[in-house]
Amino acid sequence: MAVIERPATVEGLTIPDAWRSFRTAVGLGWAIESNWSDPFLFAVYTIAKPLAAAMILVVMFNVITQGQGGEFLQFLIVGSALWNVVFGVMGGLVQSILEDRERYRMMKYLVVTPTSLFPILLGRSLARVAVSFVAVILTLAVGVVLLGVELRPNILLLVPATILGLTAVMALGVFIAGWCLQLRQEAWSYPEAIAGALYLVSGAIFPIDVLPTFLHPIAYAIPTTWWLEASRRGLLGHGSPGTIGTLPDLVVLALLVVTTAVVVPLALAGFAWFMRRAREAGLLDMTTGS
Amino acid sequence: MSEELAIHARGVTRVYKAKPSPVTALGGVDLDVEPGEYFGLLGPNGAGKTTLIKILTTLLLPTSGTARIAGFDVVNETAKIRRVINMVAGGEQSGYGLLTLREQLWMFSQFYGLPAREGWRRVDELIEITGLQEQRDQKVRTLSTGQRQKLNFARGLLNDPWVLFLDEPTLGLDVAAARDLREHTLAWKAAAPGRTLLLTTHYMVEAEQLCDRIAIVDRGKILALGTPEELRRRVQAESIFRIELDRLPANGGIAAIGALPGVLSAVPADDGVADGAGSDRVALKVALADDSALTSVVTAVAERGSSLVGLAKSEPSLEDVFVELVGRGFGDEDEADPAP
Ligand SMILES: Nc1ncnc2c1ncn2[C@@H]1O[C@H](COP(=O)(O)OP(=O)(O)O)[C@@H](O)[C@H]1O
Ligand SMILES: [Mg+2]
Repeated sequence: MAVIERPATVEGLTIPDAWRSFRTAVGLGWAIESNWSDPFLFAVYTIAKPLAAAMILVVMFNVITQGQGGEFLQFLIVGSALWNVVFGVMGGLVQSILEDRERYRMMKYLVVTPTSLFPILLGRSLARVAVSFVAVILTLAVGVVLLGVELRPNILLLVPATILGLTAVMALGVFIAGWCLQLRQEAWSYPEAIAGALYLVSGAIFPIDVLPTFLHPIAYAIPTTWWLEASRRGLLGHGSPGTIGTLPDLVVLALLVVTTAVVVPLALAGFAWFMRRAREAGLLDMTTGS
Repeated sequence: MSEELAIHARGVTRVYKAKPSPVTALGGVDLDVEPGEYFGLLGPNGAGKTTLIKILTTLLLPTSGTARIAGFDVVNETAKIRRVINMVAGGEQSGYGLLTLREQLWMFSQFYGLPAREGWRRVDELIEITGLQEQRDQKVRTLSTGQRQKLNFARGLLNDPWVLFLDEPTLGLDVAAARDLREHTLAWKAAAPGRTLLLTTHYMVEAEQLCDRIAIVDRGKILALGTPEELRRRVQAESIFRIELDRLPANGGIAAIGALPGVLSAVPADDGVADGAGSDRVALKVALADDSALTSVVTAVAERGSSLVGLAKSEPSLEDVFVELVGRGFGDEDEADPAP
């Protein structure tokens, strides 16, 4: 009979491990995240809600400008369409981490596996990210069909902008998810507040030039600003109104690369720090609801 | 040195920040568990068992002290520890309700880095071992509490851990499911000796049945440690009687009996009340310095309006050890709670 002995060498987490975990979490995340059994609710959340939000903006805008702002309308439609991705990613990551801990009670079992929570979280949330693209496409379609927005897609800009932007947004989302582990249930709306603040500062619906000057450095330092700008150029063929729109395409892309390259390691370090803090305070298997 | 030990803990303390004042859950625990040993932590609710398991499984940092699993430090070498351990906790409903049993197990097999084919093989093997074949393609949310815990147990064996931690694994299960789980645990050991188990429980029977050595814990400290026989020998000098009364003694009740001269302790017997619904019968366990004190007990009972309906000298159990160490019964803090 074989006697089990401690393996002679024990490795920590390897890259293939992380990749395997990510792939698994993508596949099953879809099943865990989605209660497709209620198509009505699903439709409301993925389609009706984002469309309604975009329409409200457009109507308000038309009332204010009395229908005189064609260029601005395009700016608005693309910004509010793309922002669905930010809400989808951040909301998805935060919900994944909190549901794992409080509803499924599986967080502790994930943590005691040799893999990291990080690829699991990314994989789990990808289903929601994918769903958020439905809202992006629908909002753009409404813009084109009903509001006369003209799209001139430039794949060479759009593809790198989307990849880099998603990376940056996911990194920010992971950071916020780690932060949420520290919070009691009442504070779960903090991340929404952050996404909302980014929404205002990144030039999603207001051109950066109309923001108070002290916010300009912040606006130019965050990757979502450059992601939106690069995506607008990739979709519309021209940039936003104001200063940022006058920069060459390559500069915009380069700034997206640089800000993303800064944000990703910072967010990962922040996530690791939050995990350590959660271990210290005993929050990994806490239930805040009770 | 400590490298050969499965579990090695020195001076482990844990203080929780809490209102109104911090809670000391562990007050300095020293523990050495040899590879291949089945070790039990036996103690009442709030003793600090879960806190210790959380520290040893890298879920919680100790406030002070050091602990090593398989020679790896629980604070800084978590990735290595997580390869060689696994953990199963009881008393709660866990699981991804929308996944099937097989999917959920397979997911974890991947998180443990098993190659895909090997993962499925292991999943099906464990489903068979835990007797869940009929439910294998059912969604987790359709499972009974007992089935969920068996699934949880199967997850705990996925990586064939070198050290397995079971935190009150049968808490809240019905008798049959609890017995199954205990049998699976013993079978796991029999299949390949060398694996180490750390079990926490507040069921005496479970500790005795599963463990080679037991530590009795209360209020964050280990009070006694040894094989079940060694522990029992500590109370062998006393005489322990099981006394059955037609009703609870009036005028001070059990406590008054315990306070009589020559009586070391008096607590409700762990098997609770005898047969017959509606009957007021109670069973007590009374430890005496020597047999002669029995007379005063019988007299005191009669004076308090109860009559004796049964009397037997009993073999000392782990509960008697606990009562001697702590001065109160095991179930005194919650309802009488016999092992399922
Ligand atoms: N997160 C926490 N915050 C504050 N006190 C806690 C926390 N977790 C456990 N405790 C306290 O620590 C003590 C030990 O708890 P625990 O380790 O769960 O004991 P056991 O598992 O033996 O029942 C108890 O008094 C409990 O109330
Ligand atoms: Mg406990």
